[in-house]
Amino acid sequence: MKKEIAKILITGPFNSGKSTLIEFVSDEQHTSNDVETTDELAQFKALTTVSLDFGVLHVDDTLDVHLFGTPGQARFNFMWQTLSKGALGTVFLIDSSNQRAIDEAKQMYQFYRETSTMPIIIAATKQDLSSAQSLASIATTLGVAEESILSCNPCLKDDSKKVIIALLELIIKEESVSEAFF
Amino acid sequence: MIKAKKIFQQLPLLRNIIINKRTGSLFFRFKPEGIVQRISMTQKKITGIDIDTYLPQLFSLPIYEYGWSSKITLTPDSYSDAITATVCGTIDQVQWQPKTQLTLKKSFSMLPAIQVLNRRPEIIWPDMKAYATLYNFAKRAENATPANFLALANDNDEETRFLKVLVMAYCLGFITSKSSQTSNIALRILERIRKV
Ligand SMILES: Nc1nc2c(ncn2[C@@H]2O[C@H](COP(=O)(O)OP(=O)(O)O)[C@@H](O)[C@H]2O)c(=O)[nH]1
Ligand SMILES: [Mg+2]
Repeated sequence: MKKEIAKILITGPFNSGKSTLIEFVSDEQHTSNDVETTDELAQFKALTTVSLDFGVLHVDDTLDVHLFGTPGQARFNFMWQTLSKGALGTVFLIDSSNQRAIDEAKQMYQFYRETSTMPIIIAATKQDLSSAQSLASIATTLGVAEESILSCNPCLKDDSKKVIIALLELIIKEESVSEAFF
Repeated sequence: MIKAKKIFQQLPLLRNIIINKRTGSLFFRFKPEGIVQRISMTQKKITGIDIDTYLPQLFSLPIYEYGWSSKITLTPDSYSDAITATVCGTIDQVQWQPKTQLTLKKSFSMLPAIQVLNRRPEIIWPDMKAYATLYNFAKRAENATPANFLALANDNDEETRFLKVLVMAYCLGFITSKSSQTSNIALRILERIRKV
């Protein structure tokens, strides 16, 4: 029996915690330097010097989740856009201690919103560092409500799980058997 | 508070709250002149004044107005057990007036074909026989609509039991519409990721 594959994208600037998060929620993790990276990632390998993450989570005999880490810089938006076809949703990691990344995140978030209707969870990493900007200030820069940004330290397994759980719950919520039936 | 457009609109609202493990307060009243009731959902339990009266009513009376105010908590893992146990216990014990039962039956009969996500849900539901019947029906029936499921009942008592299992499975998110592959897949991943 052929396995179904569900895709989840993890995007964010260099050093925002993508690899760490993917490691915690995958059974197997690869980078684009591995030989057996998927064809989907292989097409991008020559185009970027950053390593692209790829993780697999086995759900059961008939379902695998593929987690793709894509670099969160505006010049790589095309990658996110290509990989997002058929994906369930995106986790957008923002390094709270990197002012340049936060500024760029605004443009990227706007791009995601304008080019896709996919559920997106925003998570601010490195909130434990003294140089971190507050969630409120990041929310203001991005133009979203403070409650819609989660604080996450991907080095903690429970935090990594929490973000994926929040994304899945958002997906279900948007798909829920709706009020229209009653 | 929002005026209910549909008579049992509290059920989709509860479903949404429970599926998304939201915490906060639910306000409601059953009649325009009635007192506004409030129940609170924390991650651990459902509480409120006269909860023993008002919680059963939420599953047995048409609603007039309702409102919801969220409280954000960032530890969604520990939510479910006590909440689902309370909801199950309440639905199991509820006594429906014949008129209410007919209204609920009509409402559920409008749902499209469903699928049941777990063969054995990790909940305390006393009538596992009815649950198994629902599960097998959804798996095998050509047109697995709640209307066709309710039509399997041999008598009024059985219809009540079937309706109860439907209300429970609907509110706790054990059934989804067959066409929603996405939420089905997301629910399966969710169960897996909780065990990572
Ligand atoms: N203190 C702290 N370190 C973090 C946090 N998130 C990521 N890191 C560290 O930041 C570095 C970069 O993380 P990595 O997952 O490789 O980022 P990537 O470039 O997005 O894949 C690693 O050393 C992580 O341990 C955080 O929330 N707090
Ligand atoms: Mg990396």
